[in-house]
Amino acid sequence: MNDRLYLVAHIGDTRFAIDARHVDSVASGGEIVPVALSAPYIAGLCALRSRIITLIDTMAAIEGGRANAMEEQTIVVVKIDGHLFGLQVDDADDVVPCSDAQQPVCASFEAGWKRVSTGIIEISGQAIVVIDPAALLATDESLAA
Amino acid sequence: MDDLLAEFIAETRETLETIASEIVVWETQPQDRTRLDAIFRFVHTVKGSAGFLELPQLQHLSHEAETALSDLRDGKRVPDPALIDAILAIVDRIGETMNALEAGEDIDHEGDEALIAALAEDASRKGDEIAPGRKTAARSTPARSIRVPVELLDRLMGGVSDLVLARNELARQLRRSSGDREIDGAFDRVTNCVAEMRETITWARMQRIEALFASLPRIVRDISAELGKQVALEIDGDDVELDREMIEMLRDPLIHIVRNAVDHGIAKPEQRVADGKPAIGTLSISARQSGNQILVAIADDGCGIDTGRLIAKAVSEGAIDASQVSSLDERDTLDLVFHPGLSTVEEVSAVSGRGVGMDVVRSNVERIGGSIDIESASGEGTSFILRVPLTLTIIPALVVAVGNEMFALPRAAIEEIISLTKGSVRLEAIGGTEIAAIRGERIPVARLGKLLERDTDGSGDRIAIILRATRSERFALTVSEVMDHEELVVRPAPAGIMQSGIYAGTALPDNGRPLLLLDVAGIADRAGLRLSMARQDRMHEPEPAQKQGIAALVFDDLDGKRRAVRMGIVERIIDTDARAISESAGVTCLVLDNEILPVLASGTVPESGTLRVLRLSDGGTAIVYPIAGEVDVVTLPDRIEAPGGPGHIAGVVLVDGLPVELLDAHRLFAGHRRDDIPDGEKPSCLILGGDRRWNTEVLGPLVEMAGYAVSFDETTDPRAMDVVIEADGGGGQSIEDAVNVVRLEPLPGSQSGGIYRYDRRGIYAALKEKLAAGGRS
Repeated sequence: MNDRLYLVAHIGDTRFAIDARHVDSVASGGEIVPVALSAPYIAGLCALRSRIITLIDTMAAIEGGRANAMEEQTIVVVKIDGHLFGLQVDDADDVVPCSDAQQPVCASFEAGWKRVSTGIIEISGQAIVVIDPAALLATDESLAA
Repeated sequence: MDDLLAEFIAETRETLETIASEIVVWETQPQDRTRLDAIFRFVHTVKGSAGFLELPQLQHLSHEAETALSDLRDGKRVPDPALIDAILAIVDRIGETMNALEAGEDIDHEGDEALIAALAEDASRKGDEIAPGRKTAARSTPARSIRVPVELLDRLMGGVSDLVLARNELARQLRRSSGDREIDGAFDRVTNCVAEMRETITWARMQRIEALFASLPRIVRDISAELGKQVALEIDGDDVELDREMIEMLRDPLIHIVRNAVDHGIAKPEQRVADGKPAIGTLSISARQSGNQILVAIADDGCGIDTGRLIAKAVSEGAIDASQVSSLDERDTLDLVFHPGLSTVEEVSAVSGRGVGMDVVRSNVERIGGSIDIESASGEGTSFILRVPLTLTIIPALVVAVGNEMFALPRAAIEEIISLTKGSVRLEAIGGTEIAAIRGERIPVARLGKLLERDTDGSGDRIAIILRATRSERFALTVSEVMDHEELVVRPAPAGIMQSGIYAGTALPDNGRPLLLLDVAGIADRAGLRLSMARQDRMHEPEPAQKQGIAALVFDDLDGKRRAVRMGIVERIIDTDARAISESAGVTCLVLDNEILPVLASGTVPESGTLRVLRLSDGGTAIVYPIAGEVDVVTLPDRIEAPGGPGHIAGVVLVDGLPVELLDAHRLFAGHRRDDIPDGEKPSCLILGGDRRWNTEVLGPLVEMAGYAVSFDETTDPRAMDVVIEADGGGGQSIEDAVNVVRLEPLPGSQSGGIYRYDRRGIYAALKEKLAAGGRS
């Protein structure tokens, strides 16, 4: 079986998974430099081992709203289009293999979640949404406001 | 020419590789039009290049193949196996010729005719065996250079930049921990390696601008032939080097300007003769390096730009308002050339004049951080001056702050930094905007804090930075503080950050805090300052008379300080091997082209690697001054502050708003002037008595060094000399005491009043005293 690895993280009570192939590393964010006039979901920039990371307020990117810059938060570093992004999460729980194919996303999902998720996987009996980091950055009309 | 040939060989090989598969497919599907086209293009290109490189046989061969392929394309002939074989044989032959060319061997043309004959329509009917002329022995050719995709170089450069940043990070970590000698030593080595690598890779990306100029003769020749004009092309400075990427970015703008010059600038021969000019027009293209910029000038001796017609056209196109014409000065008028959609040529020719172009040229040049200037005198010619940075990857920047946020501004865009608190600038609120009045000129103001939508009323703004968005568009950006100069490795930022258009990228400076580089043109746009020409009100007040400033070279000194030296005494900037510097007799010297020059340095001179030095000259004496890197040539401000302390510093000047120490030319040379007073004018000194060897080998040189003409001739009348040294102290006296005699003693502390013979200072003082007593000093 070709098991896929997923990184499972949570923000508050919300758990979600990211395909581990997208993940560069998990780190603790340092000092955040705010970026004026940036996309609303961008919390700022930080340096991680001499690399510049663009921090994403994950919830703001999914559900809309302004990003909150919270220092010393756990970030999941992903590489998209050659740029490094740090998704702010409360904690990264585990990397788990999952052999099952992803289930389609429920139609009842909120628009934001529908946009960023690619499917649902089941880990230890719990259903977890898989999100596509690249979709987080897609500028969506509904987020423009 | 060799470079061109190498390029041709490499390119042809590359194409051969890619079309090899096309040929194979074509062989099986001769009707496949796209394959046929690809092979046709290849042969056509080879033909063109062969003609240009004067390889007649290759040209002949490819021409024949092209003809056959062309017939095939037009359907005049039907591909049959014999023809396909014949074409393939020629393609193979081209490959063999490349090998021979590269190896520098004679090209064996035997068999070429057979290959060509095989192309003939009746060749297949004859059923003759084709002589493919292949050489089976594959030659191994030594590879002296390789072609590397620029992308790979970019990745390498990116890697090195990462290395620099990682080193900086490590430096920070090390500073925190207590100093361990061994670790520090190892770290220093890493630092040196990284610096060296960075330089090497920067140079690896450098290419002679020749690569850009090489195609121009052909282009000029073709266009002038097409237009019935005669143009002599003069190219100068093709050995100037700049970043490969820059060369590619410059190619289109340059070709466009050259085409324009031949098409619009230079008139037809008969017209030129009627204008009293030589029938053959001159187009001169030159490149030179100035600081960290490359200047490319394209000048023609044509008819110049008809400003009257340009204005008329601009008005009729609605680019400017008729009422504004009178307020346009010459520069503004010429700048209309860059306005989208304007062209003064009545007829649209095939070459240019379609009214698209110069605006695109300008935006292309500006996109790479450059600028373009135009000068034109009616009837005398037009010249364009392109200024572009040497490289795109490392940008000298000024770090500024608004509140507690920092931003970087590209230094190339900064014209002046003015304090708002000293009264030299007045901010005036007009119609909801602000205007800065600076020395009789009014320029629009943008407040960075407000622009970034930060909660600021601008009361904390203490500094205005005059920025140049383009040559004619200037504005003042107010910030709360100017922090520091940094050389930044700038990286593109993701779209979510770039979307506002005010950032040019991100960088990680030495302090490890991410920094955003501002895009000056973007800021002007964002602030609504980039008014169209039609709306732009001129606000010139009479300008103070231009003062002729003194040019100075600003450089980074070895001790890390930024200093300047007057351009007038800088003879040359030389790169030399640091090992050519040696210390002898307490004087550091550099051996340069069979010349020994004294070295004066304000810091530790590196012991190895390449060293950049300034050769300074006062007209007679030359000295060498090693530097870490030159920065720019600037015009010195009128105000020179007095120096803070002793040394070679004449004073402190403000350059770009930062203090720069100006070297004191007089003191530099005073310490190192050559002793070139003719012997006849030196005071004379006779040395008598004592051990002759000690006199000539030990004492003599010492006295000579003090500036005396030394003689050991005992027959000379001591009274005729300025001073006499009696070296045989203590023993017999060879001469009597006289006013000009200095006596030396073999032992210190002598009672006889003589001077101990190894008391150098004592001897000097005594000589001077006697000289003065004798009436000379």
